[in-house]
Amino acid sequence: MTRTEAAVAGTIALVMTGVACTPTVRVQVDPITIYAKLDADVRIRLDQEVRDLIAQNPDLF
Amino acid sequence: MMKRINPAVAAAVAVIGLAAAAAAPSFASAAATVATAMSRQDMRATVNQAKADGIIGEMADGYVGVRLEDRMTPAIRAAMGEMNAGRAELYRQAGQAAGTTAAAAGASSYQQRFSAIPAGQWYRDDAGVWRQR
Repeated sequence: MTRTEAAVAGTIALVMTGVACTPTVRVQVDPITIYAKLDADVRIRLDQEVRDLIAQNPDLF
Repeated sequence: MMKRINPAVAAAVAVIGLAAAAAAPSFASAAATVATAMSRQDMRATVNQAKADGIIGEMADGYVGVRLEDRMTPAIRAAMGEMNAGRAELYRQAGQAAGTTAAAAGASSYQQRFSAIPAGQWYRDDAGVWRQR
Protein backbone atom coordinates (compact mmCIF):
# COMPACT_ATOMS: atom_id res chain seq x y z
CA MET A 1 0.00 0.00 0.00
CA THR A 2 1.41 3.36 -0.99
CA ARG A 3 1.39 6.29 1.33
CA THR A 4 -1.45 7.84 -0.73
CA GLU A 5 -3.54 4.68 -0.53
CA ALA A 6 -3.02 4.55 3.20
CA ALA A 7 -4.11 8.15 3.51
CA VAL A 8 -7.25 7.48 1.43
CA ALA A 9 -8.06 4.37 3.45
CA GLY A 10 -7.58 6.33 6.67
CA THR A 11 -9.85 9.10 5.46
CA ILE A 12 -12.56 6.61 4.44
CA ALA A 13 -12.32 4.92 7.83
CA LEU A 14 -12.68 8.27 9.58
CA VAL A 15 -15.68 9.24 7.45
CA MET A 16 -17.36 5.87 8.06
CA THR A 17 -16.78 6.24 11.80
CA GLY A 18 -18.36 9.66 11.64
CA VAL A 19 -21.38 8.37 9.72
CA ALA A 20 -21.78 5.45 12.09
CA CYS A 21 -21.71 7.72 15.13
CA THR A 22 -24.01 10.47 13.84
CA PRO A 23 -27.38 8.84 14.71
CA THR A 24 -26.37 8.41 18.36
CA VAL A 25 -25.87 12.16 18.78
CA ARG A 26 -29.27 13.43 19.90
CA VAL A 27 -29.43 17.12 20.69
CA GLN A 28 -32.78 18.07 22.20
CA VAL A 29 -33.88 21.43 20.83
CA ASP A 30 -37.56 22.05 21.33
CA PRO A 31 -39.64 23.14 18.32
CA ILE A 32 -40.60 26.45 19.92
CA THR A 33 -36.92 27.41 20.11
CA ILE A 34 -36.41 26.52 16.45
CA TYR A 35 -39.53 28.47 15.53
CA ALA A 36 -38.44 31.50 17.55
CA LYS A 37 -35.03 31.57 15.85
CA LEU A 38 -36.42 31.57 12.31
CA ASP A 39 -35.81 34.64 10.19
CA ALA A 40 -38.89 36.88 10.33
CA ASP A 41 -39.67 36.42 6.63
CA VAL A 42 -39.48 32.62 6.92
CA ARG A 43 -41.71 32.66 10.02
CA ILE A 44 -44.35 34.78 8.28
CA ARG A 45 -44.34 32.42 5.28
CA LEU A 46 -44.47 29.37 7.57
CA ASP A 47 -47.37 30.76 9.62
CA GLN A 48 -49.32 31.41 6.41
CA GLU A 49 -48.64 27.89 5.06
CA VAL A 50 -49.68 26.31 8.37
CA ARG A 51 -52.78 28.55 8.67
CA ASP A 52 -53.91 27.49 5.18
CA LEU A 53 -53.33 23.78 5.81
CA ILE A 54 -55.22 23.90 9.12
CA ALA A 55 -58.15 25.61 7.38
CA GLN A 56 -58.13 22.97 4.62
CA ASN A 57 -57.99 20.05 7.08
CA PRO A 58 -60.37 20.86 9.94
CA ASP A 59 -60.76 17.16 10.83
CA LEU A 60 -57.11 16.99 11.91
CA PHE A 61 -57.37 19.75 14.52
CA MET B 1 -30.12 34.17 3.22
CA MET B 2 -27.68 31.47 4.24
CA LYS B 3 -25.16 33.94 5.62
CA ARG B 4 -27.57 35.01 8.38
CA ILE B 5 -28.11 31.49 9.68
CA ASN B 6 -26.16 30.67 12.80
CA PRO B 7 -24.27 27.37 12.16
CA ALA B 8 -25.37 26.03 15.56
CA VAL B 9 -29.02 26.67 14.70
CA ALA B 10 -28.57 25.06 11.29
CA ALA B 11 -27.06 21.98 12.93
CA ALA B 12 -29.87 21.81 15.46
CA VAL B 13 -32.46 22.09 12.71
CA ALA B 14 -30.73 19.28 10.82
CA VAL B 15 -30.76 17.04 13.90
CA ILE B 16 -34.44 17.76 14.54
CA GLY B 17 -35.14 16.96 10.90
CA LEU B 18 -33.49 13.56 11.32
CA ALA B 19 -35.42 12.89 14.51
CA ALA B 20 -38.70 13.83 12.83
CA ALA B 21 -37.89 11.59 9.88
CA ALA B 22 -37.22 8.73 12.28
CA ALA B 23 -40.47 9.37 14.15
CA ALA B 24 -42.65 9.75 11.05
CA PRO B 25 -42.84 6.04 10.06
CA SER B 26 -44.42 5.11 13.40
CA PHE B 27 -47.17 7.68 12.85
CA ALA B 28 -47.59 6.51 9.27
CA SER B 29 -47.91 2.83 10.18
CA ALA B 30 -50.39 3.65 12.97
CA ALA B 31 -52.48 5.58 10.45
CA ALA B 32 -52.35 2.82 7.85
CA THR B 33 -53.69 0.23 10.28
CA VAL B 34 -56.68 2.30 11.40
CA ALA B 35 -57.49 4.25 8.23
CA THR B 36 -59.91 1.63 6.97
CA ALA B 37 -61.62 1.15 10.32
CA MET B 38 -62.25 4.76 11.24
CA SER B 39 -63.72 7.77 9.46
CA ARG B 40 -62.19 11.19 9.92
CA GLN B 41 -65.29 12.30 11.82
CA ASP B 42 -65.08 9.33 14.22
CA MET B 43 -61.39 10.02 14.72
CA ARG B 44 -61.99 13.65 15.63
CA ALA B 45 -64.96 12.84 17.88
CA THR B 46 -62.91 10.25 19.78
CA VAL B 47 -59.99 12.66 20.17
CA ASN B 48 -62.25 15.52 21.29
CA GLN B 49 -63.99 13.36 23.90
CA ALA B 50 -60.63 12.17 25.28
CA LYS B 51 -59.45 15.79 25.40
CA ALA B 52 -62.60 16.80 27.28
CA ASP B 53 -61.93 13.93 29.71
CA GLY B 54 -58.38 15.17 30.30
CA ILE B 55 -56.85 11.92 29.01
CA ILE B 56 -55.00 13.55 26.11
CA GLY B 57 -54.24 17.11 25.08
CA GLU B 58 -52.53 19.45 22.66
CA MET B 59 -48.76 19.74 22.99
CA ALA B 60 -46.31 22.53 22.16
CA ASP B 61 -44.84 20.51 19.29
CA GLY B 62 -48.16 20.73 17.41
CA TYR B 63 -49.27 17.15 18.09
CA VAL B 64 -51.75 15.50 20.48
CA GLY B 65 -50.18 13.63 23.39
CA VAL B 66 -51.12 11.36 26.28
CA ARG B 67 -51.64 12.94 29.70
CA LEU B 68 -53.27 10.06 31.63
CA GLU B 69 -51.69 6.83 30.39
CA ASP B 70 -53.77 4.59 32.68
CA ARG B 71 -57.02 5.84 31.12
CA MET B 72 -55.93 5.31 27.51
CA THR B 73 -57.95 2.88 25.38
CA PRO B 74 -57.05 1.26 22.04
CA ALA B 75 -59.70 3.44 20.34
CA ILE B 76 -58.24 6.66 21.72
CA ARG B 77 -54.72 5.56 20.83
CA ALA B 78 -55.75 4.72 17.26
CA ALA B 79 -57.63 8.00 16.77
CA MET B 80 -54.76 10.01 18.22
CA GLY B 81 -52.25 8.16 16.04
CA GLU B 82 -54.23 8.83 12.89
CA MET B 83 -54.66 12.50 13.74
CA ASN B 84 -50.95 12.90 14.48
CA ALA B 85 -50.01 11.09 11.27
CA GLY B 86 -52.19 13.48 9.28
CA ARG B 87 -50.68 16.46 11.05
CA ALA B 88 -47.13 15.17 10.45
CA GLU B 89 -47.77 15.21 6.72
CA LEU B 90 -49.20 18.75 6.84
CA TYR B 91 -46.26 20.00 8.90
CA ARG B 92 -43.84 18.36 6.46
CA GLN B 93 -45.56 20.14 3.55
CA ALA B 94 -45.71 23.52 5.32
CA GLY B 95 -42.09 23.31 6.46
CA GLN B 96 -40.93 22.43 2.98
CA ALA B 97 -42.98 25.22 1.37
CA ALA B 98 -41.53 27.81 3.77
CA GLY B 99 -37.97 26.52 3.50
CA THR B 100 -37.77 25.23 7.07
CA THR B 101 -38.56 22.08 9.04
CA ALA B 102 -41.67 20.11 9.95
CA ALA B 103 -40.80 20.71 13.63
CA ALA B 104 -40.96 24.48 13.12
CA ALA B 105 -44.33 24.06 11.36
CA GLY B 106 -45.60 22.06 14.36
CA ALA B 107 -44.59 24.86 16.69
CA SER B 108 -46.30 27.41 14.43
CA SER B 109 -49.46 25.30 14.48
CA TYR B 110 -49.49 25.18 18.30
CA GLN B 111 -48.92 28.94 18.60
CA GLN B 112 -51.76 29.68 16.17
CA ARG B 113 -54.24 27.30 17.85
CA PHE B 114 -53.30 27.89 21.49
CA SER B 115 -55.97 30.53 22.16
CA ALA B 116 -58.64 28.14 20.79
CA ILE B 117 -57.96 25.43 23.41
CA PRO B 118 -61.22 25.33 25.43
CA ALA B 119 -61.25 26.23 29.11
CA GLY B 120 -60.82 23.13 31.27
CA GLN B 121 -58.80 21.20 28.68
CA TRP B 122 -55.19 20.25 29.26
CA TYR B 123 -52.19 21.19 27.13
CA ARG B 124 -48.48 20.47 27.43
CA ASP B 125 -46.41 23.65 27.31
CA ASP B 126 -43.01 24.13 25.68
CA ALA B 127 -41.30 23.11 28.95
CA GLY B 128 -43.12 19.75 28.81
CA VAL B 129 -45.46 20.52 31.72
CA TRP B 130 -49.17 19.64 31.49
CA ARG B 131 -51.34 22.66 32.36
CA GLN B 132 -55.07 23.28 32.38
CA ARG B 133 -56.75 26.11 30.50
